[in-house]
Amino acid sequence: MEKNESILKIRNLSLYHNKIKALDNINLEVKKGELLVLVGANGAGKTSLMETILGSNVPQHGEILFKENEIKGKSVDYIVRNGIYLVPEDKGVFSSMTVLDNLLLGAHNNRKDVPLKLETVYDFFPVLFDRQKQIAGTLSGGERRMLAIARALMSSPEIILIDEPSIGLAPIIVNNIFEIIKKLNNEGYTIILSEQNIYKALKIAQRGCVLETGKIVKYGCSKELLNDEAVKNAYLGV
Amino acid sequence: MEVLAAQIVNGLSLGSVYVLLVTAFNLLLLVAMIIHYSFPVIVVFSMYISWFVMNLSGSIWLGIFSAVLSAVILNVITAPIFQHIMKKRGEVDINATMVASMGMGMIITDILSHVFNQGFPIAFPDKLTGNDKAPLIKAGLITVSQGQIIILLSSVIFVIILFWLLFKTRTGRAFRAIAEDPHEAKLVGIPLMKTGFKSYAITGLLGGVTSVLMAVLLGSASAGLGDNLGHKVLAVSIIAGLGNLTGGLVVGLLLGIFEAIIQGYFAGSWSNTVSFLVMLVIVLAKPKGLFGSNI
Amino acid sequence: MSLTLFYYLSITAIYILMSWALYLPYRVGQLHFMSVANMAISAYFAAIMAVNFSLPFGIVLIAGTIIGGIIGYIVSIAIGDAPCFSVVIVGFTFIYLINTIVENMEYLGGSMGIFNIPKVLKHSDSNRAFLLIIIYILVLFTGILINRFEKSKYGRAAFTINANKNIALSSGINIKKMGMLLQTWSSSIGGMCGVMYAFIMRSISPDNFTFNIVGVCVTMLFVGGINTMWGPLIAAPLLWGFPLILPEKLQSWKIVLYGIFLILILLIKPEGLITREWIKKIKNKYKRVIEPL
Ligand SMILES: Nc1ncnc2c1ncn2[C@@H]1O[C@H](COP(=O)(O)OP(=O)(O)O)[C@@H](O)[C@H]1O
Ligand SMILES: [Mg+2]
Repeated sequence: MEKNESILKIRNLSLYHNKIKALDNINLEVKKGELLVLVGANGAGKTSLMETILGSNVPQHGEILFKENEIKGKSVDYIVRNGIYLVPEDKGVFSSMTVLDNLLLGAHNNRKDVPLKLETVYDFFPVLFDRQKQIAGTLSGGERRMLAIARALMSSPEIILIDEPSIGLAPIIVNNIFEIIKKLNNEGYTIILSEQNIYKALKIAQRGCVLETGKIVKYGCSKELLNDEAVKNAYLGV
Repeated sequence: MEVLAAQIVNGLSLGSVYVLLVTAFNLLLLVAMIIHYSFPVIVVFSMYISWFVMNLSGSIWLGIFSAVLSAVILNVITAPIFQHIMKKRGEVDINATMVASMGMGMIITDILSHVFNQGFPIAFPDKLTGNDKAPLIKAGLITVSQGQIIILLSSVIFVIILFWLLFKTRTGRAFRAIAEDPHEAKLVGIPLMKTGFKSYAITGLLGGVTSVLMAVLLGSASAGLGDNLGHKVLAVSIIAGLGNLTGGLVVGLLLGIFEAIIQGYFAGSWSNTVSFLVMLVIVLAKPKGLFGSNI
Repeated sequence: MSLTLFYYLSITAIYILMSWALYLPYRVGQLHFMSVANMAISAYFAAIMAVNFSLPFGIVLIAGTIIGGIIGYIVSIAIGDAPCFSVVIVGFTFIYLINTIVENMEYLGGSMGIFNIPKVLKHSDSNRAFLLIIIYILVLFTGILINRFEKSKYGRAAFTINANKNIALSSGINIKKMGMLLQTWSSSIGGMCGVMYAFIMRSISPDNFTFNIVGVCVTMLFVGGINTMWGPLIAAPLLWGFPLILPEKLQSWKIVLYGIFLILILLIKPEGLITREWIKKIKNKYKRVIEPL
């Protein structure tokens, strides 16, 4: 496949939550292998967009093409099986289950080569290997976020949607998580990342788009956005 | 003292039947996200089916088989009703599933009291209950019959199988994920409806087995038995904490033993009064359960 | 007046009231079946008072209602804000408890029940007419009270609690007090119905107050429309009446039919036959007709 080929196309996408418009005519293209960051304040619609791509929300208008196939209206497990996986915001892991169980849940729909994938994941996150049998609820916040990302890898996805991974974490841990995300991107995973504190995100991303009340208001490569006056004022607190 | 020991032995088998019923109820609550109040009614229906088949064919094994089959079928064909109601969740709360289950109970109980044995209680053949045989162990007041051993052993085996399924298999993992957080489970790609459907099949199987064990234990059944058990199972589940599987095991067993003990000390139906009073006091004192709820 | 008609009209009224007794606690999301237990308690109270102590009807009615309220209040102290299913189990356990107590007590007639509850008025026809007038006055009175309640700030508070407990908490609504109020009210309606039932049927037995009544009331409530007080008012006469016009063979399958209706309504139209929107529409139309005049 070519490097610049687009893997996900979203056209004229609109979503309502009980008559409240959460997404308003979204147009977005994601290229294979890129790291795209969704920027937006609370309630801008980042989670809504990610859950719509995943098939958990069914949009009222528009189309979503994944590798040229329409996936709008398909079930979450179908979309997961085909290679999109979400790292949810906030909680992220099943806290009553062990680390290993959480990882195996990631492979629930893609059951091929589980031992091999486990090994790869443990190579990537040695912390988790030591804690296989530990209950996920007893992990620290950073470890939980790692587990959630590791679980995504277990599903052998092509696109990983990561929803606000930095929420509630100490800055030092956030740096850690961002490094991991960058590393994953270097390994070839296509990543869509949503963030509120965009400075670090734009540093590792190739492109970004800014969401405001369900609309994309800016769209461009990271450098452009970092230098954009309006963005600076709104999100960087300069 | 000997009465006490004897009744504890008797209570174990009654308690293990409660345990099976409560566990199935909790599983449906956790995975299918319904309050299947009338699940025990389905179990009693299967008792009637097995009685009918035993009478017709004269074969105990055919009766047992048909009991299990009918419980599975009944549970599986009613699953779409609940799932349809669940799909509208948000508009319709979990209360609606309890009401639907009550409606199901009304239908089945009324059919049982109209169709089978002209509405009279049914009695199972001695061949099944083993009531014609001498007890295996007899020491003073304490007697242990073959039936009691079968009930206790089968319950233990089925509880172990169930926990193995929950904690060691892929389906069980999905069950636990849904039980912890249905929305999150959906987001990681677990099909809620399909997985929920499996829980109907599994609890149906469990219900069928329980119906046979109940036939052995009680030796008879009446149409009203289902409502009675429905009430007790919900009570046990709430006292233990709704959806608390291990709590359900403990409280279910305790209820059986407790009922047997008071039967040893109170005349006839006063024992029911005592047991209802105790239940009431516990629920009023601890409306959220003793061990904490999982939902 | 024929006996059939009398029973139809009076029992319909009882079911309207009993369904309202379930409707009230459901405003805060609780399925409170305590009222059926209260119905039994007050019915037995009425029967004993009338048969053994010849107490006059009026006093018995008031006392029976108050007894219902007091028991409901005491119970509500414990479960005013309990989760729905704990409330359910308290109701059921009370029903079974009363049943076993009555069955075991010779004084209460055991499982045979109590017969020969005296008429209120000597003449049969006037007795029936009197009871009918009383029970429909009670229906009217209770209906107006519920209607008033719903339009008051308390009604809106209950609505908020049901919609979102957190919002209710943060806007300073006392969830427990509201639950206690509705549960107590529900129980006193149950008590009232019990007294009326005893005098209407003139014989009672434990079989009259079982799980079946719960099933019938729940059917009327949900089929009629769970979100408005008008639901039971329409559903009770229809559901109680239609088996009467069925062929006799089918009549004994009434409960099966109720169960089917109940499940069908939950599947097809979970909000019930009569919805809030529908009531609003009717009101608007009514206004448009009235206003030009
Ligand atoms: N399940 C829901 N029901 C109703 N409204 C919702 C729901 N989920 C999100 N919303 C609304 O949609 C908008 C976008 O929310 P969200 O996608 O969570 O934003 P973000 O993730 O950027 O903070 C918000 O106004 C939010 O209130
Ligand atoms: Mg969000």
